[in-house]
Amino acid sequence: MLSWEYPPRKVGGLATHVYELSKALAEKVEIHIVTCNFPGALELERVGGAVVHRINVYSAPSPDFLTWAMLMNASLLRAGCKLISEGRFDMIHCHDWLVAQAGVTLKHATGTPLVATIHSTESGRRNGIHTDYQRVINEIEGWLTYEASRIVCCSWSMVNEVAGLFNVPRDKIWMIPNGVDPGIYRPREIEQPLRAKYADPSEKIVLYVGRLVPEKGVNVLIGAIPRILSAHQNTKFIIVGEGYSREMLSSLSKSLGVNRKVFFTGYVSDDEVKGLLGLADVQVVPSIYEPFGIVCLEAMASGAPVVASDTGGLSEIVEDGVTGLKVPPNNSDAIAHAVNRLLSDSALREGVSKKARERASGRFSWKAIADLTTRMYDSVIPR
Amino acid sequence: MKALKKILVLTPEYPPRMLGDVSINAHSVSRRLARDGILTSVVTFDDWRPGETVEEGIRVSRIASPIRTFYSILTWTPLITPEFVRASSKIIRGEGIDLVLSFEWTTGISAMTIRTIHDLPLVCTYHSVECQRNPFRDSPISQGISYLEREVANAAELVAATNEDTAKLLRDEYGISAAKIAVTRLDEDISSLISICRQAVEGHEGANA
Repeated sequence: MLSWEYPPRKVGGLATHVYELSKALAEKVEIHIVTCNFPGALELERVGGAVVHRINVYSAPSPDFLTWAMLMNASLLRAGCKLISEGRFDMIHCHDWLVAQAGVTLKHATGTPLVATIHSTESGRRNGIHTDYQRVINEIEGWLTYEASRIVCCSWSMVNEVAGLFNVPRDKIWMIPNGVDPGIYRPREIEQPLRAKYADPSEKIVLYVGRLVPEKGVNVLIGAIPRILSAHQNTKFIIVGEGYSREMLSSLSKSLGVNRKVFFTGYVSDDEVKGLLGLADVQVVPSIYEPFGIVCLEAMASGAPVVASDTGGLSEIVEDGVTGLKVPPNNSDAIAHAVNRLLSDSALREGVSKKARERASGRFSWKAIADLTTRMYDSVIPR
Repeated sequence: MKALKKILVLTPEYPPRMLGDVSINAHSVSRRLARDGILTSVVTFDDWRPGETVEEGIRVSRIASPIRTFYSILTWTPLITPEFVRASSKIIRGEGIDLVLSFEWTTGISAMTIRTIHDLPLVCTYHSVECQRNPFRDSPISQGISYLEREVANAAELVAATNEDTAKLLRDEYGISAAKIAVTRLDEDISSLISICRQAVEGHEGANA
């Protein structure tokens, strides 16, 4: 399995996906993960049955991210070659365009079948292709779908997107959702010491967790804050995550006069995120583009009532009025209305929370996802 | 002792695609190898003439880039690698190869991959190194190219430099052992490059040894 992210190196949801999937798969198949190194992380370790090989990818000087990614592939490729020359592998599994070059080269060098998970597309992330930089990434994504024997997408929305963008035959694409481990979330009532760090005891907490980039729609959530505060003055908005939009979002909250009620935490540990999920009265997932929305599933598994954009994978995870409330994307008024509904109605909050936990622990368990993934592998090389 | 009977030549240019001396030298070396009775296969890049032909007794596979948008030479090179490896692996699986001869750094990632996966000795040639070509040697692009040149030279069993200046830079700047560098003027003396190739095959103990 090739992935540029693996814990503790985490940029988006990819690291968690590969970590959890590989752990669950290791109960069925021998699995090696080739990934980038990270300060303090072991070069070679066994994690829940999977063998993780962290490769030094920072020695090549690069003028920009795309060039770095290509040279990173050269390093992962060299490690993959060494690994494959030492033992037999039945399958190469790539995650996203960032490791396509290494994956496709290994496929041709060894004759080993290749499958790929497309977690999102450049066209979706950037709302179209506007520059040569994006065009190269878009072409690499299309090329990966061409070279792979099977493509995995994490939602039907992504299946449609990938099939439409790259003319991929539908029978080559498997929809396998992301997963969650409900057992890792703590009971909601024991988080009081953490609450004191972020909010007054009497304040309600509205939480956002994710990257601070345009497609996540955090600006839309901030736009909703004045209307939420007019109905629920005693509310704190905690924005967890980092990203290049942070300065713009901070300026927006100042210009709306709500900055005293908004807490940008920056990057926080996984453990603290779990704690915050246990504290949240409402979790908002305001994405404009969202292939799946693992953060929404995590909120559901933790029992945090969710308000989510009715877009992409979020539309498929949340059942409106049952496991959360759905709002049209890019609509601050709709977010304000839904958040106010949940904050005003404790019975609705409790009902949604209970149903969401049940839904998350069934269909989205990593065991179920590993079962589907091995069935997908078997469709390429029957055992 | 193993002898050189089948060779795979990787080159970024080959006639009729001619950008510089590499094309001329790769062509004359391949012709000489074929004339000496060595089964010679060339894999080269040519976006306008992809396909396989036999020319002057040489099997020539021309590959095209899978990515049509050119961003920079440092992104182009890794992205062309899978096609070089695909065409090369097909030849290796079909008829077997005793040695990979790689011209210049742009085919280097492909050459290193083939060397490791197929356990073959590698000889690479350098007409120049980045700091001879580019006055802006501290630019990130230039440093990235130097990095790849160093990696390929390090991986190769033997390195042929076409002039003394390049050989000196390979030793002094890239830290390549003097024992594995030979100077061979490809415009005058192809025989010594072929000797180097024979030497690499005879001394090969395994790329992964």
